[in-house]
Amino acid sequence: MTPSDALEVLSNHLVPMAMTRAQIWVAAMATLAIFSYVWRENPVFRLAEYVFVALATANGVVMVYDSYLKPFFVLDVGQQGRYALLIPFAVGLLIYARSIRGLGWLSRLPMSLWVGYGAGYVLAWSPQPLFVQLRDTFVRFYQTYPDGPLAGRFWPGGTVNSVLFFVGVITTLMYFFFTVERRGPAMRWSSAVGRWTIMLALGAAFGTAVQGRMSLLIGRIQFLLGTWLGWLR
Amino acid sequence: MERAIFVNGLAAQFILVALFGLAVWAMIGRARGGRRLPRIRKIPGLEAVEEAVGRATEMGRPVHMTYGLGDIDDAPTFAFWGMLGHVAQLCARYETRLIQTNNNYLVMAINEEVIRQAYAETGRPDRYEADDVRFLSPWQFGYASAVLGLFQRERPAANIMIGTFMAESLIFAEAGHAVGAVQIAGTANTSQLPFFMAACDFCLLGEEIYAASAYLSRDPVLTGSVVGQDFAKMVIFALIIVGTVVENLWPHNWFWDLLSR
Repeated sequence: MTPSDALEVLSNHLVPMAMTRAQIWVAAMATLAIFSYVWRENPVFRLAEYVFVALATANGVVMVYDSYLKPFFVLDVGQQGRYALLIPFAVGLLIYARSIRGLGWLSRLPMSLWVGYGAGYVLAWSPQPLFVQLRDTFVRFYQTYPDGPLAGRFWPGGTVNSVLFFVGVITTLMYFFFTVERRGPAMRWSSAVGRWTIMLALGAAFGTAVQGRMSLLIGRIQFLLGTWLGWLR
Repeated sequence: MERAIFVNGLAAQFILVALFGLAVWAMIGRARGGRRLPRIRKIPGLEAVEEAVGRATEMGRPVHMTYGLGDIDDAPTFAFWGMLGHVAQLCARYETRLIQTNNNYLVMAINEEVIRQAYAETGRPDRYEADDVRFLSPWQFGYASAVLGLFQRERPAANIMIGTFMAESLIFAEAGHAVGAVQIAGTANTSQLPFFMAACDFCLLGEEIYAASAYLSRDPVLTGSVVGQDFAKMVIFALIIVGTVVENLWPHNWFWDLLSR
């Protein structure tokens, strides 16, 4: 069973079976309320929207308290005595200075620290996987069958794949040169091929994503017709 | 005690990153010195930003901007801030409402600063509306449903989406289409780009979002940065050509090993 199969079983069968009848009704009503947006924005959709947003906010508050604040004060500071951690905590609190007239500038301190940390982190850790990707573009054009009765012999399909891959990478990269004018035929043609390569890749991704969305929709319809109304067996 | 400065085997990567950083720094210095830099080529979609704001002005409807689900340390969020400053200036100049929705309170704090600054630079600090920078929900679909409702109630005439987007990308794009908004979208997330291409009027592909703010503002420092990045891409381009040739002559050679860590 693949992970997506497991997820489908979980979402379509196990979870609904574990729900009480009241929960099923609430879930079905919420689903219909959200679906009603297809018709137009209406009070039922608005109710569902507000409930959803309120639930998300409430969940967020509880999660922050339970996962961050409580362990921080009870474990880190209270039990382990790591009082130095109160310094970054205080710096973090400065973000609320935005609301105080005359002290708003203090809120820029935690923000600048955070943005600086983010930029530094990206610079330190992003290049590594990119270099491995760069290495993986060094394809071999002479390809052989990896296994089977023809193992080790010339594989024309593999060679075509390698050439397409190489051309795709090179031309896509050329498409993203921003300071090179597309004047000469080489630059014009290569960036055009690059654009087509991107379009083909995005088209394939679009097809896959649409299939995934259809699967989600089918799951919801199965829930409504099967779990809720009992019309499906 | 470990005293090594470099992680073993990563020196080549460090040198390349340092070289790229040096190129960006040199080009920014060149731009600051007022020396000539290559021009950034026309990026389809960006030309439409001013038209979109102008259309919203004519229709008396607001402009909506979002960065999706980006966090404060995501590179696309940095690109969003560049675009946000430009759009906020246009909105201030044309006296058009700019509604900016958020699902991250840290990014929201910076957005407020960027918009307030843009209004001040345009000489219209009085036009800044704090209530139009809105925190909707920290949950992905809570945020998406709130944006859906907001679109129907506020009916923006332009919807600009630049940043990190996941499954909510098509929900936003469909909602914008339903209210007849001109939509300009861009993300580096390749799994969501197809949705933007299918449902939006103009789409910025991947790295184009990073060049966008330089292209729009013509700011010499930002332009210098884009020129420096182009230099890095040319080096990578050359590495791919050389690496492929070497790989075909001597499979899995030292050059391969150099980049394998």
